[in-house]
Amino acid sequence: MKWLERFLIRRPQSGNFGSVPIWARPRLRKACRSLSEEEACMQQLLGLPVRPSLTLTDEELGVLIDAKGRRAIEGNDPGNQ
Amino acid sequence: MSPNELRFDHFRQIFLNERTRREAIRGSIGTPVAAISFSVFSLGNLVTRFDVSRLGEPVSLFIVAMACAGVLAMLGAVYHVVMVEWLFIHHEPPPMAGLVEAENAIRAERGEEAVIPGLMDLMAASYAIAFEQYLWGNTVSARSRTRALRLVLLSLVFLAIGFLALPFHQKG
Repeated sequence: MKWLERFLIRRPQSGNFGSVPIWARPRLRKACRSLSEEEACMQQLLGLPVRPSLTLTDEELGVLIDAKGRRAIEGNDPGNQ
Repeated sequence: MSPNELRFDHFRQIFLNERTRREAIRGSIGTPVAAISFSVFSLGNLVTRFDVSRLGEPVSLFIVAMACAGVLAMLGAVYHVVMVEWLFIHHEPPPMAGLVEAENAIRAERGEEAVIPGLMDLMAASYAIAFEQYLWGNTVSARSRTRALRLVLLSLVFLAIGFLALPFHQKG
């Protein structure tokens, strides 16, 4: 009866604030990389010891993607390590 | 007030303002949607009063052309209304776990005195990044909303012209 749960309860479907389907990852990859670049720029600009780690919100999918989730979507490019 | 505090206050304020503006843009979509409904109603009225048997007459062809132009403009407006909320992505400041991790890292690297200014700079940077994303998204959405409104007004103008020609079509 999990399908019924979706109508009765509104809550994240998984512990990671909702999973990103594989077909949506190419679309989000660019946004994730852009955000990571901005975070790196800000860290350099302000001389921060740690990078800001924002949460990316996609209203289309209804997911919140934290910094760890973004790394997974971005892939293993050296520039994103 | 120190530069850290100034940056923090400034970017937090403009981030919150831009986030509020998002809701305002979202709420204002109702106007072009209502106008599109009216446009559809007008089109239905025009079609009902049109005599198809007189399709070959110049006035009839003119009315058909106006109706077609009105429909095209209306479809364009619908497209832009959809685009207002299409694939909208925004950023939010770091969660509590991220802030606590940053606090510990700053304390370990630079000492206790650097924690507050360091966290303020981190938050200011987060607000600045999130603000720019909201600003960009809101600008694109506002553009789509404006285009939708203009196209639906154009559609209504075309239909109004068609209605003006209707008496000449009916009298023959």
